[in-house]
Amino acid sequence: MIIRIFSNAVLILLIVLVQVSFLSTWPQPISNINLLLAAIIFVAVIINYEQGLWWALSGGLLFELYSELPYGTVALSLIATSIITNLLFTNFFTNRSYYALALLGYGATICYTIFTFGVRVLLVVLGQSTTVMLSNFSLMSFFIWQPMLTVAMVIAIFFAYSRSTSGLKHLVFNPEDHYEIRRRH
Amino acid sequence: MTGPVPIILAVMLLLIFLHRAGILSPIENIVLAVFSPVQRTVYGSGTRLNNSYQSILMFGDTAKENNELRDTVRRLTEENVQLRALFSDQQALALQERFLTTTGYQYISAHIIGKNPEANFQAIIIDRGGKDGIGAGMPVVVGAGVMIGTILNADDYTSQVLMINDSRSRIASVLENEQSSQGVVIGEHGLSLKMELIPQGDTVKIGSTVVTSGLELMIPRGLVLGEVSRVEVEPTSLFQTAYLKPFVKNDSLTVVSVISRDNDN
Repeated sequence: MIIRIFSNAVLILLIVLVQVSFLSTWPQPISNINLLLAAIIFVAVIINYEQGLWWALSGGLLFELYSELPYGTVALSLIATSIITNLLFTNFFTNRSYYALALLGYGATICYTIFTFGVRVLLVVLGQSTTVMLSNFSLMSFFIWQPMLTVAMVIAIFFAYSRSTSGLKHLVFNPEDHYEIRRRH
Repeated sequence: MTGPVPIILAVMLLLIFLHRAGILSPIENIVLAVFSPVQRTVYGSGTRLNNSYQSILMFGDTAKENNELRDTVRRLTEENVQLRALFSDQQALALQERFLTTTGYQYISAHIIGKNPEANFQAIIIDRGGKDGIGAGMPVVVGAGVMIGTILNADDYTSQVLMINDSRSRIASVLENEQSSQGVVIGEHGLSLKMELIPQGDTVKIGSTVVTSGLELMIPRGLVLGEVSRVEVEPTSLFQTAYLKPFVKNDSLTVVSVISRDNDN
């Protein structure tokens, strides 16, 4: 149990580092990829919802250290996104196909974007920030590139997970929670 | 909201409170300090990788741009060569004109338009001929009075100049030494010059200048032929021979002047 928690923490740490220090160096739209969000969607939908929530909390808190948004915004947005994703997953996308996963990824990214952008707007409305905070708004980026690339990342993570060694899976996740594996067997 | 959501939200709210209160600051600072070197490395790798990727992406554009730049460079090089040649011509002409004006010689400027194609025949073709007043035997000079040859024959519009380094060239000359030794400068198979018939007893120093003597009807005195580079003395001979180094290289010439008439002096 402790090893699994530690492994999860290391994985989250690596994802945040890659997101903050690696992907950010690339030009748009590659820098639009939200690797942390993709990982949380994958964990929440494919692995385990509760584990996804803890990932959202810990990953979000780590991400907060590099975010210009008020403390807690990213973590709360990720948690809210996980909850909404789970609601959609259990109530609407019940056929559990790749399309469902892709649509969930798209919807989750839009949710996350709306949450974080909503906070920015709120800050401007409340006079806590200037409109500069909204200057990076781009419909193309927010509704096309970021969701599409995040979906692509979710699918990539899913394939990487499916083909990875079972040892690694055991180390990080509890395979019994994996509905896909359960379905296959 | 079921499961761990209430707990997670409670933890979240607690952390926000602790952050606001500044209690989390030391932990956050430690985390940032520990991650910083790793991030620097990751960032550096990302930047390098990104630069390499951009280079690959730009390769197509670079190739196209390279071709365009090559064309531009080629065009500019051609223009530059033309301009340099023009400038060189102008400089040479200016120098020649200055010399000829100072000395009072009448002259005709001409451009070299070719070389005689026959082997072992050192002759150039100029773009002025009999119609311009050029006649056989006239001296041809460059720069500040350096003689390079004589008119061998003149057509109406072009002339052939026999270079002084051709074996058939014979120019009456004088060595600038104490005795003002007289002699004849003869071409050495297109390679160099030699001055023969220098009296045995005369002093010939390396570096001495040899000029035309003015004994020939159409060639004025004082046109420079070359400088002594080597002296050959044979004890049994009445004369000594001086080998000369020409002042100009024939290959680099573009414009010349033909002295058509001596000054009144």
